[in-house]
Amino acid sequence: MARTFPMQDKVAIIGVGRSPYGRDLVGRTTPSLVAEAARNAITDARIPKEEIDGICGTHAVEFEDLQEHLGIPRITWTSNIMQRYQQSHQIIYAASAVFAGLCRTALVARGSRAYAGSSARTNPFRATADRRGSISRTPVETSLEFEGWWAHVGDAYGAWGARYMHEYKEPREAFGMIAINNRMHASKNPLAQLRTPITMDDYLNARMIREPWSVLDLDFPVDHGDACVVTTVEHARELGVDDRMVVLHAATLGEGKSGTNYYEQTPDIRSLATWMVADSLWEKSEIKRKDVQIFFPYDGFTFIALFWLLATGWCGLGEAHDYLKAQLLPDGATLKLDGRTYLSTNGGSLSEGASQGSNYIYEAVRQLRREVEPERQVEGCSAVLLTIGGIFHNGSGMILRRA
Amino acid sequence: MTVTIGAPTTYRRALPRRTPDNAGYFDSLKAHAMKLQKCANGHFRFFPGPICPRCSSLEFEWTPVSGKGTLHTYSWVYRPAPGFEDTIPYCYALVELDEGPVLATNIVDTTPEQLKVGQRVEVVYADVTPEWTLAHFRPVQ
Repeated sequence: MARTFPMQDKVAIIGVGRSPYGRDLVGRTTPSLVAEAARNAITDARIPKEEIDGICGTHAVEFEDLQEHLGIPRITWTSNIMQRYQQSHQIIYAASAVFAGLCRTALVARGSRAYAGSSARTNPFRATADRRGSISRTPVETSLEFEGWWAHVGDAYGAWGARYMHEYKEPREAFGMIAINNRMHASKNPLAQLRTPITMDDYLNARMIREPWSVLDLDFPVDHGDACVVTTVEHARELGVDDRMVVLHAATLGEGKSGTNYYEQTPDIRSLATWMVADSLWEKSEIKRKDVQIFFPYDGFTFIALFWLLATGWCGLGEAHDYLKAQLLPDGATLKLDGRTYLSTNGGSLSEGASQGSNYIYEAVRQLRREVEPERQVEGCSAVLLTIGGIFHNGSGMILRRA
Repeated sequence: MTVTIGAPTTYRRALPRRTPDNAGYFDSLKAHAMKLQKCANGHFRFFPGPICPRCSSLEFEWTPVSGKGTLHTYSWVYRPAPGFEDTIPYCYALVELDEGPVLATNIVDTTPEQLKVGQRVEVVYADVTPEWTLAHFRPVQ
């Protein structure tokens, strides 16, 4: 079959690193978390820092900051993403840069001290997250475009979830099964923040936040820093680090017609960013659903993860509850899709901690390198599917495989 | 009809930012007679913007609309966004106007028990500060 994606299997992630995750890391700044993650990623890649010649930062910690903090002498490619965009975007931008030859080895890093200046003890769960609004735009009370503001406090997700339930007769239990699965995986993950397993009764009785979403449908904000090192497969071999590289098989970004500030004009569910990403990703990939051992659908809300699951074709609209019930393992919590594919083996944003999907990349790389704790390691893990981003905007997808 | 929410000086919710592109819309709300942009080829659009997303026409007129529409979907919010602490729960909604565009808004004068997707709704002009009037909606009686 003719390759429709020239970059297929040409770029690799050779290092991943992160800072500690925590609800309120008193004494830490965003730059300190991001720098620690970057240092750890370079160490993990087993290269000298001078090898880095391209950097992608964010509007919170820019490439200039990273270059200076890390003492990297010379870079030939630079980029900063918006803070509300994901590490998957950084990786895909970096992949295109190393593939095009603008640099050879790129560092990408992002993070957030979401609770800077406040304390989880004085700001009960969610209060701060609501007040924070979009971390990329301050202050939320005055400067946002009126419509965009709604989207970022999350009400739009509730409304679209309600529309999906109305139109396709999906019960809330479908979303609950995502929350329960992710928490069960988190219970086994020493890096996860929320490790007490939950039941469907817990889910259905949880405190309502934005109907139909209760507190167990929403991610768990944490302070965090995450980083990756990206280079070409060819250069990874020259560097002698190809034994642990993870190869980028297919990648895409995706936006539907009505993104971020215009989401209310979204004509229908099928025109959301999730479907743009899924359609594009499958076109670019020779690895298919049946070939992946883990699926990481971004779970800022349970609803987003479920939409990624629908968009990537595991089951049809309105069929998720029936489908997921048939994928349950005997523990009554863990999902194994089509008998082959685990879902969110680290616990995701819902339970490991919310880092805009960066934690999925960290977990994916380590699962593919087969270096997570033996009791969590997915046997024979050779390819994974990641779909990261919200439904209205910042969609992205990647298929990673073992070298 | 007019609803005044709170004393003007204590209104704490997000307010729009007036630009040359959207001033016609907010001026029309202030006058309690909603107008939307209608391009030279007859396409209504919302949120106000510089170009027609359907036909790329740069020509438009601020054109009166009925203020009536259908409830596309909604979410009752129990953990309030900033400024909404005085009305819990409040109803966030997407309303599809009879002229086509969809507005993000609040539904007022209703309860969780009464509201249904597909219900007919009509605009309520809320004079929230001396400078600003916003479009809320309520079920058609």
